[in-house]
Amino acid sequence: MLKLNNISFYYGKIHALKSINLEIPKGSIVSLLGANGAGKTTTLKVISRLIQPSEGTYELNGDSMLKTSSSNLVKKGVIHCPENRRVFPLLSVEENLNIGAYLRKDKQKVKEDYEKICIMFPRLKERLKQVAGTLSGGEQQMLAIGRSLMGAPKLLLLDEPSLGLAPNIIQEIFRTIKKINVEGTAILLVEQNAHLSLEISDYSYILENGRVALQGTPEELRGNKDISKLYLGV
Amino acid sequence: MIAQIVVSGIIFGCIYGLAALGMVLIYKTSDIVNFAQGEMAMIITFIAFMFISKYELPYIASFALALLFAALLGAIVYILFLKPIQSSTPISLIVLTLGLYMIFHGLAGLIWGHSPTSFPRALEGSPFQIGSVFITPNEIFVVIFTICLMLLLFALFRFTKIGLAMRAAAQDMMASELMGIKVTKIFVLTWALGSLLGGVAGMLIAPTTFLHPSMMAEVLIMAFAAAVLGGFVSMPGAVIGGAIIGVFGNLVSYFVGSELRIVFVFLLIIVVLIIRPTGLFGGTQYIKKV
Repeated sequence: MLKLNNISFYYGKIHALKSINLEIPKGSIVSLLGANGAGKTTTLKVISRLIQPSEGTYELNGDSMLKTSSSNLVKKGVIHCPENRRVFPLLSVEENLNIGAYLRKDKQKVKEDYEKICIMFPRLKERLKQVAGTLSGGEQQMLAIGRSLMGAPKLLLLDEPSLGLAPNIIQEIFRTIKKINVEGTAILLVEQNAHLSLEISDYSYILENGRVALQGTPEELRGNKDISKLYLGV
Repeated sequence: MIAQIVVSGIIFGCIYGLAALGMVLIYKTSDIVNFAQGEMAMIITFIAFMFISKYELPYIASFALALLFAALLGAIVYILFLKPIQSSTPISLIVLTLGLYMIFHGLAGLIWGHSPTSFPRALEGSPFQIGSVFITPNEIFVVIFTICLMLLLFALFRFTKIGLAMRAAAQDMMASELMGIKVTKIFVLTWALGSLLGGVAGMLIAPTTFLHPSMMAEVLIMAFAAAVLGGFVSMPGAVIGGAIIGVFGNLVSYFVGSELRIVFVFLLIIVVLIIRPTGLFGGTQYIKKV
Protein backbone atom coordinates (compact mmCIF):
# COMPACT_ATOMS: atom_id res chain seq x y z
CA MET A 1 0.00 0.00 0.00
CA LEU A 2 2.90 2.36 0.73
CA LYS A 3 6.15 2.63 -1.15
CA LEU A 4 9.23 4.79 -0.58
CA ASN A 5 11.77 4.87 -3.35
CA ASN A 6 15.24 6.40 -3.09
CA ILE A 7 14.16 8.85 -0.40
CA SER A 8 16.87 11.26 0.75
CA PHE A 9 16.62 13.95 3.37
CA TYR A 10 19.07 16.50 4.76
CA TYR A 11 18.95 18.27 8.12
CA GLY A 12 21.03 21.26 7.06
CA LYS A 13 24.23 19.63 5.90
CA ILE A 14 23.63 16.32 7.63
CA HIS A 15 22.54 13.62 5.23
CA ALA A 16 19.92 12.00 7.45
CA LEU A 17 18.31 9.64 4.96
CA LYS A 18 20.28 8.10 2.12
CA SER A 19 18.21 6.54 -0.66
CA ILE A 20 15.73 4.74 1.53
CA ASN A 21 13.59 2.09 -0.14
CA LEU A 22 10.75 0.77 1.91
CA GLU A 23 7.50 -0.97 1.24
CA ILE A 24 4.50 -1.67 3.43
CA PRO A 25 2.07 -4.25 2.04
CA LYS A 26 -1.60 -3.96 2.95
CA GLY A 27 -2.49 -5.42 6.33
CA SER A 28 1.08 -6.21 7.37
CA ILE A 29 3.30 -5.22 10.28
CA VAL A 30 6.60 -3.84 9.08
CA SER A 31 9.20 -2.85 11.61
CA LEU A 32 11.93 -0.29 11.23
CA LEU A 33 14.78 -1.04 13.59
CA GLY A 34 18.11 0.53 14.39
CA ALA A 35 20.07 2.59 16.88
CA ASN A 36 19.45 6.18 17.95
CA GLY A 37 20.05 8.60 15.10
CA ALA A 38 19.79 5.95 12.40
CA GLY A 39 16.96 7.85 10.69
CA LYS A 40 13.93 5.94 11.91
CA THR A 41 11.91 8.92 13.12
CA THR A 42 12.99 10.97 10.12
CA THR A 43 11.59 8.26 7.86
CA LEU A 44 8.28 8.43 9.71
CA LYS A 45 8.23 12.21 9.37
CA VAL A 46 8.70 11.86 5.63
CA ILE A 47 5.79 9.44 5.50
CA SER A 48 3.46 11.66 7.53
CA ARG A 49 4.53 14.69 5.45
CA LEU A 50 5.98 16.70 8.30
CA ILE A 51 9.12 17.06 6.20
CA GLN A 52 9.76 17.13 2.46
CA PRO A 53 12.43 14.76 1.14
CA SER A 54 15.02 16.23 -1.22
CA GLU A 55 14.93 13.24 -3.53
CA GLY A 56 12.92 10.13 -4.20
CA THR A 57 9.32 9.10 -4.68
CA TYR A 58 6.60 8.32 -2.16
CA GLU A 59 3.48 6.49 -3.22
CA LEU A 60 0.36 5.53 -1.33
CA ASN A 61 -1.89 3.09 -3.18
CA GLY A 62 -0.20 4.11 -6.41
CA ASP A 63 -0.57 7.90 -5.99
CA SER A 64 2.37 10.19 -5.31
CA MET A 65 2.10 11.85 -1.89
CA LEU A 66 4.92 14.36 -2.30
CA LYS A 67 2.52 17.28 -2.76
CA THR A 68 -0.09 16.17 -0.21
CA SER A 69 -0.46 18.02 3.12
CA SER A 70 -0.05 16.18 6.41
CA SER A 71 -3.68 16.92 7.14
CA ASN A 72 -4.74 15.21 3.92
CA LEU A 73 -2.63 12.19 4.73
CA VAL A 74 -4.51 11.83 8.01
CA LYS A 75 -7.71 11.91 5.96
CA LYS A 76 -6.37 9.11 3.80
CA GLY A 77 -5.86 7.05 6.93
CA VAL A 78 -2.10 7.29 7.41
CA ILE A 79 -1.77 8.17 11.06
CA HIS A 80 1.44 8.91 12.90
CA CYS A 81 1.62 8.17 16.61
CA PRO A 82 4.67 10.21 17.58
CA GLU A 83 7.67 9.41 19.73
CA ASN A 84 7.33 10.23 23.44
CA ARG A 85 3.56 9.78 23.15
CA ARG A 86 2.90 13.54 22.81
CA VAL A 87 -0.55 13.35 24.33
CA PHE A 88 -2.04 16.79 25.03
CA PRO A 89 -1.18 17.09 28.72
CA LEU A 90 -3.84 19.63 29.67
CA LEU A 91 -6.70 18.02 27.79
CA SER A 92 -8.72 15.26 29.40
CA VAL A 93 -8.38 11.67 28.24
CA GLU A 94 -11.75 11.99 26.54
CA GLU A 95 -10.72 15.18 24.72
CA ASN A 96 -7.46 13.58 23.64
CA LEU A 97 -9.43 10.73 22.10
CA ASN A 98 -11.92 13.08 20.47
CA ILE A 99 -9.22 15.13 18.85
CA GLY A 100 -7.93 11.98 17.18
CA ALA A 101 -11.14 12.02 15.15
CA TYR A 102 -10.78 15.73 14.33
CA LEU A 103 -11.11 15.31 10.57
CA ARG A 104 -13.75 12.59 10.54
CA LYS A 105 -17.29 13.40 9.51
CA ASP A 106 -18.83 9.94 10.07
CA LYS A 107 -20.15 10.64 13.56
CA GLN A 108 -21.80 7.27 14.07
CA LYS A 109 -18.62 5.37 13.20
CA VAL A 110 -16.57 7.69 15.40
CA LYS A 111 -18.83 6.83 18.31
CA GLU A 112 -18.42 3.12 17.65
CA ASP A 113 -14.65 3.46 17.46
CA TYR A 114 -14.70 5.38 20.71
CA GLU A 115 -16.59 2.56 22.44
CA LYS A 116 -14.19 0.02 20.97
CA ILE A 117 -11.14 1.89 22.21
CA CYS A 118 -12.65 2.16 25.68
CA ILE A 119 -13.01 -1.63 25.70
CA MET A 120 -9.51 -2.12 24.31
CA PHE A 121 -8.01 0.13 27.02
CA PRO A 122 -10.13 -0.28 30.15
CA ARG A 123 -7.65 1.80 32.11
CA LEU A 124 -8.35 4.79 29.90
CA LYS A 125 -12.05 4.31 30.36
CA GLU A 126 -11.63 4.66 34.12
CA ARG A 127 -9.85 7.97 33.58
CA LEU A 128 -11.87 9.68 30.84
CA LYS A 129 -12.25 12.97 32.75
CA GLN A 130 -8.70 13.00 34.04
CA VAL A 131 -6.15 15.36 32.51
CA ALA A 132 -3.75 13.38 30.30
CA GLY A 133 -0.63 14.89 31.89
CA THR A 134 -1.41 13.08 35.14
CA LEU A 135 -1.42 9.60 33.56
CA SER A 136 1.46 7.17 33.97
CA GLY A 137 3.82 6.55 31.07
CA GLY A 138 2.11 3.32 30.08
CA GLU A 139 -1.32 4.91 30.23
CA GLN A 140 -0.11 7.83 28.13
CA GLN A 141 1.19 5.40 25.52
CA MET A 142 -2.17 3.65 25.47
CA LEU A 143 -3.86 7.02 25.12
CA ALA A 144 -1.53 7.97 22.27
CA ILE A 145 -2.39 4.74 20.47
CA GLY A 146 -6.08 5.13 21.27
CA ARG A 147 -6.00 8.69 19.95
CA SER A 148 -4.43 7.47 16.70
CA LEU A 149 -7.06 4.74 16.39
CA MET A 150 -9.77 7.40 16.64
CA GLY A 151 -8.59 8.58 13.23
CA ALA A 152 -9.57 5.18 11.75
CA PRO A 153 -6.09 4.40 10.43
CA LYS A 154 -5.49 2.17 7.46
CA LEU A 155 -1.80 2.50 8.16
CA LEU A 156 -0.61 3.26 11.67
CA LEU A 157 2.90 4.64 12.16
CA LEU A 158 4.09 3.87 15.67
CA ASP A 159 7.25 5.58 16.87
CA GLU A 160 8.90 3.72 19.77
CA PRO A 161 5.83 2.72 21.72
CA SER A 162 7.99 0.86 24.24
CA LEU A 163 10.14 3.86 25.15
CA GLY A 164 10.67 4.17 28.88
CA LEU A 165 8.03 1.63 29.90
CA ALA A 166 8.19 -1.30 32.31
CA PRO A 167 8.60 -4.76 30.71
CA ASN A 168 5.11 -5.99 31.56
CA ILE A 169 3.57 -2.82 30.11
CA ILE A 170 5.67 -3.25 26.97
CA GLN A 171 4.29 -6.78 26.59
CA GLU A 172 0.79 -5.42 26.91
CA ILE A 173 1.42 -2.69 24.34
CA PHE A 174 2.84 -5.17 21.84
CA ARG A 175 -0.11 -7.49 22.29
CA THR A 176 -2.37 -4.54 21.56
CA ILE A 177 -0.37 -3.66 18.44
CA LYS A 178 -0.76 -7.20 17.16
CA LYS A 179 -4.47 -7.05 17.88
CA ILE A 180 -4.88 -3.77 15.98
CA ASN A 181 -3.10 -5.38 13.05
CA VAL A 182 -5.23 -8.51 13.12
CA GLU A 183 -8.29 -6.29 12.87
CA GLY A 184 -7.02 -5.01 9.54
CA THR A 185 -4.72 -2.02 10.08
CA ALA A 186 -1.25 -2.09 8.52
CA ILE A 187 1.46 -1.01 10.92
CA LEU A 188 4.88 0.52 10.55
CA LEU A 189 6.59 -0.02 13.87
CA VAL A 190 9.70 1.97 14.71
CA GLU A 191 11.54 0.38 17.61
CA GLN A 192 14.80 -0.06 19.43
CA ASN A 193 13.45 -3.18 21.06
CA ALA A 194 14.38 -5.47 18.16
CA HIS A 195 13.48 -8.77 19.78
CA LEU A 196 9.89 -8.01 20.57
CA SER A 197 9.43 -6.22 17.26
CA LEU A 198 10.64 -9.20 15.25
CA GLU A 199 8.21 -11.39 17.12
CA ILE A 200 5.19 -9.54 15.77
CA SER A 201 6.56 -8.27 12.41
CA ASP A 202 6.00 -9.72 8.96
CA TYR A 203 9.02 -7.92 7.58
CA SER A 204 11.81 -5.75 9.00
CA TYR A 205 14.20 -3.07 7.86
CA ILE A 206 17.30 -2.28 9.83
CA LEU A 207 18.55 1.28 9.43
CA GLU A 208 22.11 2.36 10.01
CA ASN A 209 23.35 5.92 9.51
CA GLY A 210 20.40 6.81 7.32
CA ARG A 211 20.71 3.76 5.09
CA VAL A 212 18.80 0.50 4.96
CA ALA A 213 21.58 -1.81 6.14
CA LEU A 214 19.50 -4.98 6.15
CA GLN A 215 16.03 -6.18 5.45
CA GLY A 216 14.15 -9.43 5.55
CA THR A 217 11.58 -11.53 7.31
CA PRO A 218 12.13 -12.10 11.02
CA GLU A 219 13.31 -15.66 10.28
CA GLU A 220 15.91 -14.45 7.80
CA LEU A 221 17.19 -11.80 10.18
CA ARG A 222 17.32 -14.13 13.17
CA GLY A 223 18.96 -16.88 11.11
CA ASN A 224 21.96 -14.75 10.30
CA LYS A 225 24.41 -15.05 13.19
CA ASP A 226 26.37 -11.85 12.43
CA ILE A 227 23.21 -9.86 12.16
CA SER A 228 21.90 -11.17 15.43
CA LYS A 229 25.11 -10.18 17.12
CA LEU A 230 25.37 -6.72 15.58
CA TYR A 231 21.82 -5.52 15.56
CA LEU A 232 19.78 -7.68 17.82
CA GLY A 233 22.27 -7.87 20.68
CA VAL A 234 22.01 -11.63 21.06
CA MET B 1 -21.96 57.66 46.20
CA ILE B 2 -19.96 54.50 46.80
CA ALA B 3 -22.52 52.50 44.78
CA GLN B 4 -22.13 54.89 41.86
CA ILE B 5 -18.34 54.54 41.99
CA VAL B 6 -18.58 50.76 42.05
CA VAL B 7 -21.00 50.63 39.13
CA SER B 8 -18.96 52.91 36.91
CA GLY B 9 -15.88 50.93 37.94
CA ILE B 10 -17.53 47.77 36.69
CA ILE B 11 -18.30 49.43 33.38
CA PHE B 12 -14.68 50.50 32.88
CA GLY B 13 -13.65 47.06 34.09
CA CYS B 14 -15.70 45.42 31.35
CA ILE B 15 -13.73 47.27 28.72
CA TYR B 16 -10.43 46.35 30.35
CA GLY B 17 -11.76 42.81 30.46
CA LEU B 18 -12.61 42.83 26.75
CA ALA B 19 -9.12 44.00 25.82
CA ALA B 20 -7.71 41.41 28.23
CA LEU B 21 -9.85 38.65 26.68
CA GLY B 22 -8.22 39.25 23.31
CA MET B 23 -4.77 39.04 24.84
CA VAL B 24 -5.59 35.93 26.84
CA LEU B 25 -7.03 34.22 23.76
CA ILE B 26 -3.91 34.96 21.73
CA TYR B 27 -1.58 33.97 24.56
CA LYS B 28 -3.43 30.76 25.39
CA THR B 29 -3.44 29.56 21.82
CA SER B 30 -0.34 30.87 20.10
CA ASP B 31 1.80 31.44 23.22
CA ILE B 32 2.54 35.03 22.23
CA VAL B 33 1.95 38.05 24.46
CA ASN B 34 0.63 40.70 22.11
CA PHE B 35 1.78 44.10 23.32
CA ALA B 36 0.41 45.66 20.14
CA GLN B 37 -3.15 44.67 21.10
CA GLY B 38 -4.06 48.17 22.25
CA GLU B 39 -2.63 49.96 19.23
CA MET B 40 -4.38 47.54 16.91
CA ALA B 41 -7.61 48.38 18.74
CA MET B 42 -6.90 52.09 18.30
CA ILE B 43 -6.41 51.69 14.54
CA ILE B 44 -9.64 49.69 14.31
CA THR B 45 -11.44 52.48 16.14
CA PHE B 46 -10.05 55.04 13.68
CA ILE B 47 -11.34 52.87 10.83
CA ALA B 48 -14.77 52.76 12.46
CA PHE B 49 -14.67 56.54 12.78
CA MET B 50 -13.80 56.82 9.10
CA PHE B 51 -16.92 54.85 8.20
CA ILE B 52 -19.05 56.99 10.52
CA SER B 53 -17.76 60.46 9.64
CA LYS B 54 -16.46 60.17 6.08
CA TYR B 55 -18.95 57.70 4.60
CA GLU B 56 -21.72 58.67 7.00
CA LEU B 57 -22.72 55.07 7.65
CA PRO B 58 -24.90 54.26 10.67
CA TYR B 59 -23.12 53.26 13.88
CA ILE B 60 -24.00 49.56 13.66
CA ALA B 61 -22.77 49.23 10.08
CA SER B 62 -19.55 51.05 10.89
CA PHE B 63 -19.09 48.88 13.97
CA ALA B 64 -19.55 45.69 11.94
CA LEU B 65 -17.27 46.84 9.11
CA ALA B 66 -14.61 47.85 11.61
CA LEU B 67 -14.79 44.39 13.18
CA LEU B 68 -14.34 42.83 9.76
CA PHE B 69 -11.28 45.02 9.34
CA ALA B 70 -10.15 43.97 12.83
CA ALA B 71 -10.28 40.29 11.95
CA LEU B 72 -8.31 40.92 8.77
CA LEU B 73 -5.76 43.04 10.62
CA GLY B 74 -5.22 40.32 13.22
CA ALA B 75 -4.81 37.64 10.57
CA ILE B 76 -2.39 39.75 8.53
CA VAL B 77 -0.30 40.73 11.56
CA TYR B 78 0.06 37.06 12.48
CA ILE B 79 0.89 35.83 8.96
CA LEU B 80 3.24 38.69 8.10
CA PHE B 81 5.10 39.22 11.37
CA LEU B 82 4.56 36.47 13.92
CA LYS B 83 4.43 33.29 11.88
CA PRO B 84 7.91 33.63 10.37
CA ILE B 85 9.53 33.90 13.81
CA GLN B 86 7.14 31.87 15.93
CA SER B 87 9.72 29.22 16.71
CA SER B 88 12.05 31.94 17.98
CA THR B 89 12.67 32.74 21.65
CA PRO B 90 9.92 34.35 23.77
CA ILE B 91 12.04 37.48 24.14
CA SER B 92 12.22 37.96 20.35
CA LEU B 93 8.47 37.62 20.15
CA ILE B 94 8.03 40.21 22.89
CA VAL B 95 10.38 42.61 21.15
CA LEU B 96 8.50 42.04 17.90
CA THR B 97 5.08 42.83 19.33
CA LEU B 98 6.56 45.84 21.15
CA GLY B 99 7.98 46.94 17.80
CA LEU B 100 4.55 46.59 16.24
CA TYR B 101 3.16 48.75 19.07
CA MET B 102 5.59 51.54 18.12
CA ILE B 103 4.92 51.16 14.39
CA PHE B 104 1.14 51.25 14.74
CA HIS B 105 1.31 54.18 17.12
CA GLY B 106 3.61 56.14 14.83
CA LEU B 107 1.61 55.36 11.71
CA ALA B 108 -1.68 56.37 13.34
CA GLY B 109 -0.17 59.70 14.41
CA LEU B 110 1.13 60.29 10.90
CA ILE B 111 -2.17 59.48 9.22
CA TRP B 112 -4.75 60.88 11.64
CA GLY B 113 -2.80 63.36 13.77
CA HIS B 114 -2.73 63.58 17.54
CA SER B 115 -5.66 65.86 18.38
CA PRO B 116 -8.47 64.04 20.19
CA THR B 117 -11.80 63.69 18.39
CA SER B 118 -15.09 62.70 19.92
CA PHE B 119 -16.48 59.28 19.11
CA PRO B 120 -20.18 58.34 19.33
CA ARG B 121 -21.61 55.95 21.89
CA ALA B 122 -23.19 52.66 20.89
CA LEU B 123 -26.50 53.71 22.45
CA GLU B 124 -27.70 57.26 23.01
CA GLY B 125 -30.15 58.12 25.72
CA SER B 126 -30.06 59.94 29.02
CA PRO B 127 -29.16 58.19 32.27
CA PHE B 128 -31.86 56.77 34.46
CA GLN B 129 -31.83 56.05 38.15
CA ILE B 130 -31.75 52.67 39.84
CA GLY B 131 -31.73 53.16 43.58
CA SER B 132 -29.01 55.73 44.21
CA VAL B 133 -27.13 54.91 41.00
CA PHE B 134 -27.36 56.73 37.68
CA ILE B 135 -26.70 54.59 34.66
CA THR B 136 -26.97 55.20 30.90
CA PRO B 137 -28.37 52.75 28.34
CA ASN B 138 -24.92 52.69 26.74
CA GLU B 139 -23.32 51.56 29.98
CA ILE B 140 -25.80 48.72 30.34
CA PHE B 141 -25.04 47.78 26.76
CA VAL B 142 -21.28 47.66 27.51
CA VAL B 143 -21.78 45.32 30.47
CA ILE B 144 -24.17 42.96 28.70
CA PHE B 145 -22.13 42.90 25.52
CA THR B 146 -18.94 42.07 27.45
CA ILE B 147 -20.58 39.24 29.38
CA CYS B 148 -22.08 37.80 26.17
CA LEU B 149 -18.73 37.91 24.38
CA MET B 150 -17.01 36.26 27.32
CA LEU B 151 -19.58 33.47 27.51
CA LEU B 152 -19.45 32.99 23.76
CA LEU B 153 -15.67 32.66 23.82
CA PHE B 154 -15.78 30.39 26.82
CA ALA B 155 -18.24 28.11 25.02
CA LEU B 156 -16.22 28.23 21.82
CA PHE B 157 -13.08 27.17 23.64
CA ARG B 158 -14.72 24.59 25.83
CA PHE B 159 -17.37 22.90 23.72
CA THR B 160 -16.57 23.20 20.02
CA LYS B 161 -14.25 21.24 17.80
CA ILE B 162 -12.42 24.37 16.74
CA GLY B 163 -11.96 25.30 20.40
CA LEU B 164 -10.53 21.87 21.11
CA ALA B 165 -8.13 22.34 18.19
CA MET B 166 -7.11 25.73 19.60
CA ARG B 167 -6.32 24.22 22.98
CA ALA B 168 -4.45 21.34 21.38
CA ALA B 169 -2.40 23.61 19.12
CA ALA B 170 -1.39 25.63 22.16
CA GLN B 171 -0.03 22.53 23.89
CA ASP B 172 1.73 20.69 21.10
CA MET B 173 1.95 22.04 17.56
CA MET B 174 3.49 18.93 16.05
CA ALA B 175 1.09 16.48 17.64
CA SER B 176 -1.79 18.73 16.52
CA GLU B 177 -0.49 18.68 12.97
CA LEU B 178 -0.43 14.87 13.20
CA MET B 179 -4.11 14.86 14.18
CA GLY B 180 -4.82 16.62 10.89
CA ILE B 181 -5.28 20.05 12.50
CA LYS B 182 -4.04 22.87 10.28
CA VAL B 183 -2.17 24.70 13.01
CA THR B 184 -1.44 27.84 10.98
CA LYS B 185 -5.13 28.21 10.19
CA ILE B 186 -5.98 27.90 13.88
CA PHE B 187 -3.46 30.61 14.81
CA VAL B 188 -4.72 32.92 12.06
CA LEU B 189 -8.24 32.47 13.39
CA THR B 190 -7.09 33.11 16.95
CA TRP B 191 -5.37 36.33 15.97
CA ALA B 192 -8.40 37.44 14.00
CA LEU B 193 -10.62 36.84 17.04
CA GLY B 194 -8.16 38.45 19.45
CA SER B 195 -7.88 41.54 17.29
CA LEU B 196 -11.66 41.69 17.00
CA LEU B 197 -12.06 41.67 20.78
CA GLY B 198 -9.51 44.46 21.06
CA GLY B 199 -11.44 46.40 18.43
CA VAL B 200 -14.67 46.08 20.41
CA ALA B 201 -12.87 47.39 23.49
CA GLY B 202 -11.45 50.29 21.49
CA MET B 203 -14.78 51.35 20.05
CA LEU B 204 -16.54 51.09 23.41
CA ILE B 205 -13.94 53.10 25.32
CA ALA B 206 -13.43 55.77 22.63
CA PRO B 207 -16.45 57.89 23.69
CA THR B 208 -14.79 58.26 27.12
CA THR B 209 -11.11 58.61 26.19
CA PHE B 210 -11.74 60.42 22.87
CA LEU B 211 -10.25 59.15 19.66
CA HIS B 212 -6.48 59.73 19.34
CA PRO B 213 -3.36 57.57 18.85
CA SER B 214 -2.67 57.31 22.60
CA MET B 215 -6.24 56.48 23.58
CA MET B 216 -5.41 52.86 24.44
CA ALA B 217 -2.25 53.52 26.47
CA GLU B 218 -3.93 53.27 29.85
CA VAL B 219 -6.49 50.68 28.71
CA LEU B 220 -3.66 48.41 27.57
CA ILE B 221 -1.91 48.64 30.94
CA MET B 222 -5.17 47.99 32.76
CA ALA B 223 -6.03 45.11 30.43
CA PHE B 224 -2.63 43.61 31.12
CA ALA B 225 -3.24 43.96 34.80
CA ALA B 226 -6.67 42.36 34.41
CA ALA B 227 -5.23 39.44 32.45
CA VAL B 228 -2.47 38.86 35.00
CA LEU B 229 -4.90 39.13 37.88
CA GLY B 230 -7.11 36.54 36.18
CA GLY B 231 -4.18 34.19 35.66
CA PHE B 232 -3.57 35.03 31.95
CA VAL B 233 -5.19 31.79 30.81
CA SER B 234 -8.75 32.10 32.07
CA MET B 235 -11.43 33.89 30.03
CA PRO B 236 -13.83 34.54 32.92
CA GLY B 237 -10.69 35.41 34.90
CA ALA B 238 -9.82 38.17 32.44
CA VAL B 239 -13.26 39.78 32.70
CA ILE B 240 -13.51 39.37 36.48
CA GLY B 241 -9.96 40.68 36.77
CA GLY B 242 -11.03 43.65 34.66
CA ALA B 243 -14.03 44.33 36.88
CA ILE B 244 -11.93 44.14 40.06
CA ILE B 245 -9.39 46.55 38.63
CA GLY B 246 -12.07 48.90 37.36
CA VAL B 247 -13.82 49.07 40.72
CA PHE B 248 -10.61 49.22 42.76
CA GLY B 249 -9.18 51.92 40.50
CA ASN B 250 -12.32 54.02 40.83
CA LEU B 251 -12.33 53.67 44.61
CA VAL B 252 -8.69 54.75 44.75
CA SER B 253 -9.43 57.75 42.54
CA TYR B 254 -12.20 58.83 44.87
CA PHE B 255 -10.57 58.22 48.24
CA VAL B 256 -6.88 58.78 47.46
CA GLY B 257 -6.62 60.68 44.21
CA SER B 258 -6.80 59.84 40.53
CA GLU B 259 -3.07 60.37 39.95
CA LEU B 260 -2.36 57.39 42.23
CA ARG B 261 -4.86 55.06 40.56
CA ILE B 262 -2.39 53.06 38.46
CA VAL B 263 0.09 52.92 41.34
CA PHE B 264 -2.50 51.33 43.60
CA VAL B 265 -3.77 48.99 40.90
CA PHE B 266 -0.29 47.60 40.50
CA LEU B 267 0.21 47.39 44.24
CA LEU B 268 -2.95 45.27 44.31
CA ILE B 269 -1.57 43.04 41.59
CA ILE B 270 1.74 42.62 43.37
CA VAL B 271 -0.08 41.65 46.56
CA VAL B 272 -2.30 39.17 44.70
CA LEU B 273 0.67 37.62 42.90
CA ILE B 274 2.58 37.23 46.15
CA ILE B 275 -0.36 35.42 47.71
CA ARG B 276 -1.36 33.51 44.55
CA PRO B 277 1.51 33.47 42.02
CA THR B 278 -0.73 32.00 39.30
CA GLY B 279 -3.32 34.77 39.55
CA LEU B 280 -6.84 34.46 40.84
CA PHE B 281 -8.01 31.94 38.25
CA GLY B 282 -4.76 30.45 37.03
CA GLY B 283 -2.80 27.58 38.42
CA THR B 284 -3.62 24.00 39.05
CA GLN B 285 -7.23 24.01 37.99
CA TYR B 286 -6.84 26.33 35.06
CA ILE B 287 -7.81 23.68 32.58
CA LYS B 288 -11.22 23.48 34.20
CA LYS B 289 -11.61 27.22 34.02
CA VAL B 290 -10.72 27.19 30.32
